[in-house]
Amino acid sequence: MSEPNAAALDQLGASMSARQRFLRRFLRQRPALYALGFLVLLALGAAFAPWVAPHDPLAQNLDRVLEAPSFDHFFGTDELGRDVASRTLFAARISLLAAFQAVFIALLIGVPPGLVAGLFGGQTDNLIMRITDALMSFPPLILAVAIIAVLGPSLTNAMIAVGILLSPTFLRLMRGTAMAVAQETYVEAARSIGCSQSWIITRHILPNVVSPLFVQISVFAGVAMLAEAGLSFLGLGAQPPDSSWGAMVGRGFRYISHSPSLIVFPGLAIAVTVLAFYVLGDGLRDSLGREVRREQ
Amino acid sequence: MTAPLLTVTDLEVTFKIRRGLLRPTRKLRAVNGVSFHIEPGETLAVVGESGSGKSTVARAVMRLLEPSRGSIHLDGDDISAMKGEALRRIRPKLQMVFQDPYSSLDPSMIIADVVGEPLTVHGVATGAERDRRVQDLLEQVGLGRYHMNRYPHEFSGGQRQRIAIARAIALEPKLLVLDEAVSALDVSTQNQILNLLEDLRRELGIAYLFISHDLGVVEHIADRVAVTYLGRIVEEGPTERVFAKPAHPYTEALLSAVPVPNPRIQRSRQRIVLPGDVPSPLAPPSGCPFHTRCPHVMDVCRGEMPSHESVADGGSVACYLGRV
Repeated sequence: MSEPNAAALDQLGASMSARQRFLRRFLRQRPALYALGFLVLLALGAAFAPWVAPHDPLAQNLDRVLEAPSFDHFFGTDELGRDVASRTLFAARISLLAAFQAVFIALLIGVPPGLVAGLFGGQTDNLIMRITDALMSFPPLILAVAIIAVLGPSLTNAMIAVGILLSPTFLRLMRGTAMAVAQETYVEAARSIGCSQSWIITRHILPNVVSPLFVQISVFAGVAMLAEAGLSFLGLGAQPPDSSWGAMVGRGFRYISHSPSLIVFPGLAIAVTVLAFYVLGDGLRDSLGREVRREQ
Repeated sequence: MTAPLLTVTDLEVTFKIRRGLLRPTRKLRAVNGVSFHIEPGETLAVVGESGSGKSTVARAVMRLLEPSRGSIHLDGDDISAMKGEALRRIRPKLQMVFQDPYSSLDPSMIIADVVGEPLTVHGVATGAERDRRVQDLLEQVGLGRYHMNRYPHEFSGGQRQRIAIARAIALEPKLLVLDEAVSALDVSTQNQILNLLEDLRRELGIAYLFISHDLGVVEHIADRVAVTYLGRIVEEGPTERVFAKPAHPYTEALLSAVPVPNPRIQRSRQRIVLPGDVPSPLAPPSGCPFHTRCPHVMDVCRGEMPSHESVADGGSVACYLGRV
């Protein structure tokens, strides 16, 4: 606490915002950085697929069906002679979008009631949690199939189903975090200086519950992508002519003995992307980690 | 004599303990019939063991808890039944510093916002004006402008407690409740904070309600002391009198447990070791709560709680010794 190098301290302390500090720590997480790089590249590739893809993903060439990877077709061709590399790139659009759809829906129906349950407690909490328990007691895939049976097979419906299935975890996470934060001394301290209830919720509780949420979002993007792949593999997700990675694996599966490369590339894309989401989640958790806890 | 700043009369705080789904809830009386007052600019220390209800007294005075009986008058207003907006309006007059400086500051806020929050919430100052006030406050507690944009986790325990004090004095309160405010700090830091509190009292004329279990610290800072045992005040009086001539056997035992820096004196001192443990506040003993451990216990002690009666050289004591 000496004054002499106040100017230097001024520089150091003033120039470091929370975001910068988070960035500095995050940049030290090599695996997470690679994962993020991969996901960004993938997203860009998907967004600019029409310009990046070597071929039209829908152009058939019945003279060249089920070919092995070659210089002409990097990932080979499928049963209709379509370029698998281009199809994988275009399918990334559907797969990524589907994953985010599902996570968005899960956030939408999970977070608000979770916060309400955590902050209000008592009977409100009881009611919300019993509904959640009921929802969680269903076997996930069966419930998804049931929802799709009612709404009809389409990717959006499949993702609504996945979103509903993922929502209880968000709900529980938010409830638990909100409960813990509401018990913190700094919340009591806020009451003691005369902060209103709404001020306390928006200024003290919300900022302290979002970091675990980010971690969960990243991990769940991976989970949603896997669920989408599973449902599409079963024919309950993406419908032709659209194709997701899961749907590609599902179709390629029929030619597995003749042309195994058909399922290898979309399968690899699923595996690597899901892994990237998980690794990113881990990295976020480590760099967003509650700073107080670490200090003690 | 001017009117007291704070008058607490017959305060009782009970907690409901729920032990199971179908079992009946039980009442825990954490504070029972506590009365005291604080003059403007005066420091009253409330001492006692853990579980004696001293922190509950602090939280009830802060109206973070609802008292189940009794009244709390601050500056002429009865705040014991206040709620919502009325309560918010009197908050600037009484502020609090919490025990643990690691959990009492919001980790997601920079110091400028932590210290400036009371000013913002009560609409006292905003923007550049607020920042200027925050800067003054930080300087007042021995911190600098360059600390404003940092986060609580970048500070040591002592610095955090300074931040908490800066925040507590931002609204120029008349009463500052310090709940074990120096207990979590090491001895040298404790001293710095105590000196800071002393300076602030001289400059701003704030009264302190100083909750502590550390008698050494209390002797240093308090004008008057109230000794609590099992939710009751057993003795109260000017610090000098209580430390020199304790009137209650419990106070006597407490004081005998405080080490003296001089080893020769320390060795020759007679320590009063109390038999047994503090009884559970769920099933407090009848009569005087201390009778189960008191070396001078008499039959009358088991009947009725003795009333407070004044002691020579100031204060009062709730004990039958020398009365019957």
